[in-house]
Amino acid sequence: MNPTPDTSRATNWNALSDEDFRQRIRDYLEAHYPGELRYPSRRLFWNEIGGWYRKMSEIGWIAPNWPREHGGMGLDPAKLLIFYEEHERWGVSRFADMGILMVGPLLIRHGTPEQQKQWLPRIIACEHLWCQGYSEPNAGSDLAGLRTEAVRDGDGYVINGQKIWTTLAQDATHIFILARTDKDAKKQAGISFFLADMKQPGIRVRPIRDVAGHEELNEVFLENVRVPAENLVGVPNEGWKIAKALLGFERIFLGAPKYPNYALGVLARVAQACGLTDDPGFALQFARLRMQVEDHTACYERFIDIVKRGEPVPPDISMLKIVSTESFQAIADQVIRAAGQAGQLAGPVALGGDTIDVLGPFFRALPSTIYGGTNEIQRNVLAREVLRLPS
Amino acid sequence: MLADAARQFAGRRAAPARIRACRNRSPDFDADVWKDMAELGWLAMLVPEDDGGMASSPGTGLADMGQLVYEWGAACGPEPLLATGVLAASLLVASDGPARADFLARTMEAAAVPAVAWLDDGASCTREAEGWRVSGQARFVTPADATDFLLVFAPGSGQPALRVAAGTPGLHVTREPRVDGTGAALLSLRDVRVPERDLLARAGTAASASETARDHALILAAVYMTGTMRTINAMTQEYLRTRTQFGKPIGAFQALQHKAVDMHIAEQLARDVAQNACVLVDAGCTSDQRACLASRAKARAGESLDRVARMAVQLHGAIGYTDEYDLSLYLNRALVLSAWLGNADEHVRRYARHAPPFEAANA
Repeated sequence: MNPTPDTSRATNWNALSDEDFRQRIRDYLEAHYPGELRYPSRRLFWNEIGGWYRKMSEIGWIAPNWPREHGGMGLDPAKLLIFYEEHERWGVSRFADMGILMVGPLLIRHGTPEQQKQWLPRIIACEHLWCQGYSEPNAGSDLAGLRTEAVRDGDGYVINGQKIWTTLAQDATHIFILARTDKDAKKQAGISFFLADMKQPGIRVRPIRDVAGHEELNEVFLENVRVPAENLVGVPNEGWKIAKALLGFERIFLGAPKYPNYALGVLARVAQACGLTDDPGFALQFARLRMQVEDHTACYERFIDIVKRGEPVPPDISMLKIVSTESFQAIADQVIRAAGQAGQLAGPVALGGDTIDVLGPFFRALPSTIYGGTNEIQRNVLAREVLRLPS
Repeated sequence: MLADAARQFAGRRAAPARIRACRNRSPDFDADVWKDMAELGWLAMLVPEDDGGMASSPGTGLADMGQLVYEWGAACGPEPLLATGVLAASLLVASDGPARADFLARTMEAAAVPAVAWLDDGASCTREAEGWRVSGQARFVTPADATDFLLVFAPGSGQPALRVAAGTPGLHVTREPRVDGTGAALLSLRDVRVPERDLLARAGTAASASETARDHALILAAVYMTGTMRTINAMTQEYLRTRTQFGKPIGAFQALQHKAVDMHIAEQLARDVAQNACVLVDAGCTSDQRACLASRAKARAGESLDRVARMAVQLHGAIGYTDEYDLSLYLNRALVLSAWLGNADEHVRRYARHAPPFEAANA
């Protein structure tokens, strides 16, 4: 272990060999990431994980996906995958880093030089924390049916409407909003992309308690929210296009075997704790699920190879999310069955000398077939774009 | 290139009409097509260069062979590419007896068409002055019309592997019809004399040679089955685009679209697993790793093909239940392939026997 790895901003990461690069990331995480924050059972709030991200910011690792001239690491796709893989391997909690994942890449592609200068450095400095204002009560899967409205008024816009399922909005300083700017245009055509400060009158955040008892999701109410005209990104009425183009290869992470693997690990512990390991019926079930995860990994690696070659991600990527999330749910369900009566207990519970959150995998798996595009929407996409079935 | 050539050949030589013509007859495949395949080098893909084949070393060549098998599986030709071209050929490659070299050469040029016969537990193989005397039974031996049978005894029996020509005194062959119109042989051997020169694999090698051959056949059977799924899915999607009910193509109905998508996912996942197994085995692995890869590939392909074939009939409706419609050929082939060398359930158990102890990544 190297306690003071080279984190110099001058390092040309892409010039390193994959092995060397991986080792440097690994060494740093192992030496510096707080042990008590490894593999958290829920998303962490900024007051829990903020310290770590400020540190990432200090050493120049906060935006691995951004080009160097904007303060990022400028990693190529192969190196970026390694960077994320090492974070997952060490159980590093990813903050809901919408500024890094969405706003930055969006402004770098579609923003004016003034917008880039105004917003990007503050994201890098962790001064601004962003949340995503997309879904609405009546615009979920049919997002283009959104009704939040932005009306031109002098040198700015006035926004009215409501957003929902906004992850960690309570921590965010800013929100990016899809709002309708032309009510007469066809659904997708009249939408624009806005940046707004959360700390202003008219924006109200209300947490939503979920079935697991957590409050990571929120409603965001927008009442006569004024934003200056220069906070509109791209061309007016063409926000839908740029929002769609943002779905980069990060989508592949929705289909990573990380969660099914985690659930399988919990299942093995529950089996051990409940004395099921030598039960032939259980052993067969476990082998099936283990094979399922290995098969899923083979599929994941096919897409990873595409990304590494720098090719565009094909629409078939939707299958990966389906395979991953449905496998995650199947394993999580098996955890509950294996735990028997302990399946009724909330939170981490004593089980055969171990302490296990039996329902933890279940509650994490349950919404996975809903967020990031429901599995039904993914199937629609596959039917239309891959199978070319009629509509 | 290999794949393109294979696809063209399969398209020309495995038309549904010929598959139908071969059904329920003996021989259940066409010798001239088999000769053509041999001339194209299809039977040399798993044979090492030192033996006149195309594989860089023994135990490799699966990825290349996979390209041919995939296309042949898509066409569902009745010629025994898996049973002879993979299972028997791999057994010969991994063998070390005096019969190996000559018989391998004859197999590659289609002068011999061998079938592997795993003898039941009760079989006996007695050493005699000039060879062996064998009694016992073997079932599910394919191709049923083989010119020679490659006898393999139960693992742990410490017996060699031996070649016995069809028609040898004491060897009785009964044909059991398979659901796809090909046959499976039931061998009954009673005091069959096998001379020294027909020793394929010595006692110390036979068990590992037959396990290598089994794994290669399982993996390439999985590849073949993904080809069959490709054809079934393409047929079904085309049907969904063209069949009209309630005033629109039935493929516009979401309930049917989602079933078609699940069939597509089953095909792609099975293909990823089977291809991955080819690549990893070619790169070299332990026998336990190889067994896990092989059983995973066959289990995944079996389960996927079972679902794809059944769902294809459902999406076609009544026409899919007729013999006349070509889907029947692929459905019946699917039933055969799912069971051949062990179905999905059996391979889950086999995987469990060979898998290393589970180590959680992060629990």
